[in-house]
Amino acid sequence: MLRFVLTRLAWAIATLAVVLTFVFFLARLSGDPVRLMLPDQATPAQVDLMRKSLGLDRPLLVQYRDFIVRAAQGDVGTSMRQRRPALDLVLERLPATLELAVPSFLIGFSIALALAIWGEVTGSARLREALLWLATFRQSIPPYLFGIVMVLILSVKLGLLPAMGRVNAASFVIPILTMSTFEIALYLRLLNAAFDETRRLDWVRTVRAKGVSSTRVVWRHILPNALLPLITVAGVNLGVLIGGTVVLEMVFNWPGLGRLIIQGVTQRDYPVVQAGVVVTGVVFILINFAVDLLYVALDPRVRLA
Amino acid sequence: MIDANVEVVSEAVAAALSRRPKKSRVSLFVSVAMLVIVLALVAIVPFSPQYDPFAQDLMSGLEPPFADPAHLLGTDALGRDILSRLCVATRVSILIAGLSVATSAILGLLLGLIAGWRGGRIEKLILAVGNIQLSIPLILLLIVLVASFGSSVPLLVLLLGLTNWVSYGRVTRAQVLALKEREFIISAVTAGGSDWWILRRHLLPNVLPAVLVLCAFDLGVIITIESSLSFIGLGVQPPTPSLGLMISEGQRYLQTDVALTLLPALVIFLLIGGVQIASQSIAPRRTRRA
Repeated sequence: MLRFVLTRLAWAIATLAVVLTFVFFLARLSGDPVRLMLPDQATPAQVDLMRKSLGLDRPLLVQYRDFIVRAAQGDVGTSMRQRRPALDLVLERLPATLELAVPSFLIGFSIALALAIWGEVTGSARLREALLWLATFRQSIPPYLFGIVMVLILSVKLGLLPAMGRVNAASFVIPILTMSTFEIALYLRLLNAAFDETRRLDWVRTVRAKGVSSTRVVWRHILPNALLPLITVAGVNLGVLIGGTVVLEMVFNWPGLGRLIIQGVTQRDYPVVQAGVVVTGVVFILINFAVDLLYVALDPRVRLA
Repeated sequence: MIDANVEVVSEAVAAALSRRPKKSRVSLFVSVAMLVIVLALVAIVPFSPQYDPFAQDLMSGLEPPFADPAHLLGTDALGRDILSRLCVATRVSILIAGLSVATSAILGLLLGLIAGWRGGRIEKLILAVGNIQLSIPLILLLIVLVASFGSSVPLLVLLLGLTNWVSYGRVTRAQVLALKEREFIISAVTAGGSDWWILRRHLLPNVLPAVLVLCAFDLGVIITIESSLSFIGLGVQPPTPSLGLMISEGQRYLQTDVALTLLPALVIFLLIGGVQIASQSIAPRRTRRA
């Protein structure tokens, strides 16, 4: 058990190290930062001075070692535009993104679960099929597009909700509606597939033959077995959720991580982009580490193996 | 970091993919109907007399649909014909999605076959690379890569193709692992068949169906990602029209000219929906496990 946790922890740290290495070398490939920071009329002497003061004249491997050491101390560069530590900028924006992502996941997952259980308990194939069609159609509309259509209907036509920004509780409605319906569609399809697998197993048939009620079969027997593999999938799918939120923030002018990163790209403020990617990676790694532990707690087969 | 559960993941993915509604005829009909509209747009519009996606006419900008016979679906802010632009944009989307899915499928197939068949250290390495890559959301990874390398159409194909191989690799590997236990493979090995021969003659034909289903499903995913990137200005660059770009331009006129947003939105919906439903209806029914 302890060995399992330690292996997972080592994995998490190794993953983080690779992510850091990736962003470091990518930054060097993306062009000379000094050229971007100085005006075009700068003399070669000024360029050299700048390069020296930034430590860019040293060998690449020395710079790399320095970068990793600093990153371990929580310093992943300074924003070129705002002259502030990039990590601070990112951490300021992170809550706004989580305010969208976390409720969307919770609402989406629970509604998908409720719908899937409803379809299973009633045993109506027609109901399940109707739900699946709805899910497929929802998945055919990318999040940013769904957001715009919702703005069109709910703010422009009906005037019920604010179209953009993050001012009051009402401005959360459209973004969360967009992301949570996306999550419902995703998990409804996954749950349905898992239920399909479990439904026709021998022991389920045996339980039914014994006369156990349909509700009890679903709650007590099908659900726990179908849910288990889904936990891991949920951890991985968080990437899809974060990715969708990043783009969605552009639609709503949401002051979150995604808009910061995209602005960083268009303003060529690479340290901010770098910090944004590293922080997202850390969040993702932490969540999957937690998912692994949860999995061990829930599944004796993994615990005893 | 989740390698113990890789099988669980790829199995769940495969199960989700192969899930199809019972009346697959209905879904086949719906998907064909959706795709026919899109294909008609791509194939017929270039022959119409009004076809010119780039000609600007500032005097006749923002015309509504069906008002002017010269511009059937109206014009955008610069007076360009929307129908023609939709046609080119859809072609760009299909081109990028098709080529990049092919790239990632081939790459994933290759790595999955190596990992599953060889096992050992190389398998661990391939799985580790895949897992690490998944710790950065795909869209974010692409944003960073585009920021470093730029975003011409060939580059987008390459970047999308190279970053999206993981699911193909996992599905292929899981299939190969299952096939390895089967009698016909064991007998092929015992008969002294070379690795290459077994790969070509036995493994590839058996792995291919699952990979093709994943390809069909992935087309929708890649179209979503490409249009998202174009929407935030990091995908296809103007003057090349793209569906995501048209929507982001249209969003500015949401108050006055809804058609600018809704027309490309409809095309995206038909395209992604058609491909997704088709991928469900062609999926082979999952064989029962003992």
